[in-house]
Amino acid sequence: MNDEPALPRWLHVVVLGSFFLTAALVGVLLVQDAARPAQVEQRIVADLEVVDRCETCHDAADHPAPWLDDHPVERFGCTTCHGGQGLAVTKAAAHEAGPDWEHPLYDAAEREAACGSCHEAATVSGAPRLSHGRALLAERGCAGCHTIPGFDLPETAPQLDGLRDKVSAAWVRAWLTDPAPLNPVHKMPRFALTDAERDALVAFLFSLDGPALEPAPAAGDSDRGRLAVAQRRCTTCHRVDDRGGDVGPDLTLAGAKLHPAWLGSFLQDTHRLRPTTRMPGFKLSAEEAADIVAYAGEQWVPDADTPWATAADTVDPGLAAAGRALFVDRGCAGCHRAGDVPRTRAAMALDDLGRRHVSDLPQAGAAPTHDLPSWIATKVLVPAAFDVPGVAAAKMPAFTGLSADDAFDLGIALAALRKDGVPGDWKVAAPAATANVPAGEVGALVDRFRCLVCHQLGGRGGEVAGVALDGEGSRVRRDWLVGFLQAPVTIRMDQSARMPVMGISPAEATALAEWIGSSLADPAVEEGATLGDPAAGALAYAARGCATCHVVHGEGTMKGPTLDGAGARLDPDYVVALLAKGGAVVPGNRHPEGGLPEAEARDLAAWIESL
Amino acid sequence: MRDFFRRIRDSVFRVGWPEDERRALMAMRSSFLLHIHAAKVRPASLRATATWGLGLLSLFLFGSLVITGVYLMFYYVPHPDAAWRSMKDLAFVVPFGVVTRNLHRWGAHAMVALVLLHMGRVFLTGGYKAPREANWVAGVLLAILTLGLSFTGYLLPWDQLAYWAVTVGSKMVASVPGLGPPAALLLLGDHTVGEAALLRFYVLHCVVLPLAVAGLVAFHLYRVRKDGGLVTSEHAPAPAEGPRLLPAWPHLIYRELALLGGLVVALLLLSMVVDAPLEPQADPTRTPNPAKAPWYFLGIQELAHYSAFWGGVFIPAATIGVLLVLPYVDRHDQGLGRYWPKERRTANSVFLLIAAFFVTETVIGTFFRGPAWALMWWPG
Amino acid sequence: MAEVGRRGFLRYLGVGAGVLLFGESAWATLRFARAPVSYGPPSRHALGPPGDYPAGAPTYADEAGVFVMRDERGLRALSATCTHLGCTVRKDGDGFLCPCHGSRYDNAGRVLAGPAPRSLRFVRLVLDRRGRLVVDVDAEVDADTHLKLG
Repeated sequence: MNDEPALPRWLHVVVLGSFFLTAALVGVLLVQDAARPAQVEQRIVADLEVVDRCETCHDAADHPAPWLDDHPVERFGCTTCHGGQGLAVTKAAAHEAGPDWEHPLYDAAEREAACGSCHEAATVSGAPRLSHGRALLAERGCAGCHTIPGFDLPETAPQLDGLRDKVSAAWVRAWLTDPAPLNPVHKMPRFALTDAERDALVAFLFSLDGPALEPAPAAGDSDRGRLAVAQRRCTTCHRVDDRGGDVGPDLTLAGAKLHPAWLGSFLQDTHRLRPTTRMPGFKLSAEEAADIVAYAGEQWVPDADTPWATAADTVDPGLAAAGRALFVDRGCAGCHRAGDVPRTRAAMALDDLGRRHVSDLPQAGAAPTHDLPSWIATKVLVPAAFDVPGVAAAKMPAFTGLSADDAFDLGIALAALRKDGVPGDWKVAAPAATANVPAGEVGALVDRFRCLVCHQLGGRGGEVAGVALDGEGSRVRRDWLVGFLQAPVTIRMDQSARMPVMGISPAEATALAEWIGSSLADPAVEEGATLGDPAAGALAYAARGCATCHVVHGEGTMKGPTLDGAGARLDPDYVVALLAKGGAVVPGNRHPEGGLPEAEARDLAAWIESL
Repeated sequence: MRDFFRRIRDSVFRVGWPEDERRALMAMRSSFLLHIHAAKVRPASLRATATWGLGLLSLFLFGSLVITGVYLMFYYVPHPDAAWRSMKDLAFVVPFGVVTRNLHRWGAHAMVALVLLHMGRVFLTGGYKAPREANWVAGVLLAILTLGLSFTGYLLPWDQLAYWAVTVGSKMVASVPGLGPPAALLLLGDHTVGEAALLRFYVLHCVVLPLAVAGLVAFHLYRVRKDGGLVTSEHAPAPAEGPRLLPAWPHLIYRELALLGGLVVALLLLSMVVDAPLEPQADPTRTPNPAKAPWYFLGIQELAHYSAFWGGVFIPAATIGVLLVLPYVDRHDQGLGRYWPKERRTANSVFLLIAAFFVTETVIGTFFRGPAWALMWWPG
Repeated sequence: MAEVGRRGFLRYLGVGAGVLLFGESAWATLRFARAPVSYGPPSRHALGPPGDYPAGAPTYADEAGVFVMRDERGLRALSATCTHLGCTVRKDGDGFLCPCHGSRYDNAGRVLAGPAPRSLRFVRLVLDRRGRLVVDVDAEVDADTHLKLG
C-alpha cells in the first residue's frame, strides 16, 4: 500500500503488555481489598479528641475489672486509658509504635498515669502507684524547686536563721556532704557540692541572726532528763536508736549535734526559735529543759568520734555573699526560709511534663528508656545521668533512700501532668480539704499544739494519730476530753504513736474540748439514745466475742481500745450508733461492718456505760 | 439494534479504527485528543533521544495527579483537627486509600524531577531560542508552578514532616528583605503555619495552581506545534532513505501509549510496594532536628545555611530571572537541535556546571545534613 | 475470525484489556467511595438501664430519636422519624404529630391523618451484657416485638 516502515513489534508488546500488566496489578489490589474487615466499629468522644476503632476487634463487654461501670466506653473511648493508636484497625498499627505513631499501648504504669490526668486527688483508688508517687512528691518536697499543680512550696524544712547558735559549721559541712548518716529519716536530698561551695554556704548561713537564746541553763540532771523524755513521749515523733516515729529528725546524735544553749532555749519556747516547725509549741521550765539537755549530752552522742565532731569549726565570713548566691542558685530557698532570701523555685516547671516524648529527651548510657515514667525515675535516681559533657551539669540533687520502685512511682505521678490533657470539666478534683479550724483562741491553740500534724480533720492533716478529729465531738465525753488533753492516757495499746504530753493547761484543754464537742459532731450519731439493760449487755459482750479485740477488767486482747473506763470516756449515743450501724459509721474505724440489732446495741451501750 | 449502537459509535468516533494511512490521517485531524499532533511527523521526532519523553511523561503525571487528587479530595478535610486523621482514614478504612495516596505522592515527586529534567533537555538542545522564546518562558513558569503545587501539597497531610518543611520553606520566603514578610503573610494567612495556612494551601493546591498549569500546558502544547515542532527534529538532517514524513498514527501515538503504559505500570508498582511517608501529627511545640524543607528545596536550604540572603534569596531569584530573560539575550542561532554541538559547548558547559552545583547542594542537604544542620555521613 | 487477522486480533486484545481495566477501576471507585465507617451519628445507641423507662406515657430518648414504651409484655422502641419525609415527630395528646406536613399517628404509631405513607417504625431494642438497653435505629422490627424483661 505504501512504503512506510511497519511499526516495530516491540512497540505492540510494550503497549499491550503494559495494558495487561496494569489490569493485573489493579486485580491484585482488588484481591487485597477483599480481605479488609467489612465493617469497622468506631467510637467517637469529641471532647477528648478520641476516635477509637478498637472495637472492630475487641468487645468492650469483655473488659475485665469493674472499670467500665464508672468509665463507660461510650463516654471515654478506649485510648483515653489504654493509649495506642485508636484510628488503626490492624493489631500492629494499633498496639505498637511506628514512624507515624510514637507510643505503643500503655503498660500498667502508664495506665495509672492516665488515671492521673483526670483524677487530681492525692489518693486515687485503683491506682496505688500513682497515689504513692503523689505522696512522695509531697514528702520529698519536689514542689520546692519545681512548679507542680496541686503542690505548694513545702514548709517541712527547718528555718535556717540563727543556725550558728544551733549546730557547728563542721556539722553543716557534713550534712551538706551526705545527710543520711546524720539522720536516717532525713528528707533533704544530697547536693553535689565542692568543698569551696560548702564553705560558702556555711559562711552565708552562719551570717544569719536568729532570735536571742535564753541564758545557758544550770547543769541539769540526766536521770530526770531521761524520765522527762519518756513522759513527754518524744519518740512518738523522733527516732532514737532505730525506734520511734519519723515526723521529726532522728535524735540519736542530737546531743553532739545541737549546742546545749540552743536546745535548752528551744525546749523552753519551741516556736519562738522556730515559728514554722511541725513540732508542738513546748514551753518547758528551765529546769526540765536543762535536765533533757543533760540527758541528751550524755546519751545522744556518737559512740566513737565522728569527723564532724572533731573537725575544725572555721567559718570565713568573706564568703557569705557567694554562699547566698549559691543558696539561691541551688534552690535551697524553695524549702528553707533563711533571712530575707525570697522563696522561689529554681528549677523548671513540671506542669506539662506528661506531654514530653521520651524520644525528644536526652538518653542515658546504652540502655535507652522508652516510657516517660522510667525516664523520670532515672533522672530522680541519678540526676547527672543525662548530663552532656561540655554543658553545665544538672543542679538537681540526688534523692537518697528512694527505691527504684519509689522513683518509678514518682515518674507515674509526674507523667500524669499535662496542661492540655483533658478539658476542665473532665477533671475529677481532689475532695475539698477544709479543716474547719476557727480563728481566735482555739485556732491559736490548734496551731500551737500542731494538732493537725498528727490528726486528720476535714481531709487535711497527718496520719500519725489513729483518731481523726472529725466527729470526735460525738464520740467522747467533754469532761473526759478535758482531762485527756492535759494528761493523755493510752487507750489504743496496739498503736505505737502515743500522744505527746505537751503541757496543755486546764484552761487550754477546756477551750479545745469545748470546740471539739460543739463543732466536731458526727452527723451519723443520733443524740438522745435510750439505754437498755446493762446485764443483758454484759451477756451480749461475751456472746459476741468482743474480748477478741477489747480489754475489760484486764481480760481480753488489745487489738482495739481498752474498754476499762469507757463509761467515763465514750458518749453512749456514739456507742449505740457504732454498734447498731456498724464500723463504717466512723471512717477508718476497724470495728466489724454490719450492725447489731438496735436493742442489743442499747444493752451493750448501757453495760459499757457502767465500766 | 446493532445499527442503533453503530450510529452512537460513529457519532463519537467519526473515522473508526484507522486501518490505513488515509483513515489514520483523518483520525488525527478529526479526533479531539489526537489533533494536538500534526497528522504526519518527522521520523527524527520518533527517536527516543529526541525528547526522552520527558515533557509527555510530565503531562501524563499531571493527568494522573489530577485524577488521584480528585479521589483524595473525597476524604480529605483541610483543617488542623482533621487533616492528619484523614490520612489515617485513607490508611485504615478507605479501600484503596493507601495506594491512591501513594500514587499521588510518588507521582508528585516524579513530576518535579521530570519537569526539571525536561527543562535541562530543552536548554541543552537550544530549544529556548527563536522562535520558541515565549514557549520557553511558559515552560519556566510551568516548572515554578509545579514546584508550587508540590510545595502546597506537602503541607496537606499535616504531619510533622509537612508542618516543619512548610515552616522552614515559608521562613525562607520571609527572609527576603522588604517583600518577603508580606509575601509570607499572604501565603500563610497568619504569622505561623496554622489553620489559615492549611486552607490556603489546600485551595491553591486543588484549584488555583492546577487551573493555572492546565491553561499554561494548553499554551505550551499549542506553541510546540506552531513553533515548528521539536527543535531536535526540526534541525535534524532528512532521512537518507524512506519517507520524509510518517503518519502520526500509529507511529507516534503507539510510542506515546507505550510511554503512558510504562509510566502507569512503574508508578503503580512503586505505589504498591513503597508507602508514602507519614509522620506523627503536626505539633507546633516540637521541632524535629533538623527541620528540613521538601527535597527539591533542600539545595536552597543548604545555600541559605551559608547566607540567608545570598544563598536563600539571591541565587534562586537570580537563577529564575536569568532563565526567564535567557531567550531574549542569547541570540546565537547555531548548533540547535543537538545535545553537544561545537557552537554551544560553552553555554551547555556553564548550564551543566550550574545544574551540577544545585544537584550537589541538594544531595548534601538531603543526605548529609543531620541535627543542627551539621554535616554527617550517610545514612543519618 | 480468519479475516480479522493478526493485527485485528491484537487490537481486540488491546480493547479487551482496556475494557477490563475500566471495569476494575469502576469497581474500585465504588469501593473507594464507600468506606466502611463514617463520622456521622452511629445507628446503635446505649439508652441506660431499663428502669429509666417506666410504664405509661412513652419516654423520648433524644440522642437516639426513639420513644421507649413499656407495657405488660415488655419494652419497645418506636422511631420518631416520620415515614413521610423524615422529620422528627413529637408527642401530641395520645399520639404523635409530625410538625413538617402534619402527619398524625396514634399511640401505636399507626397513621391517622396526613401524607405519611405508613406507620412509624419499631426498631430493635436489646439488652447488652452489662444490662443496659441498646437501640439500633436502622433495624426495623415488627410492632409486636417486645423486649421481655426477666
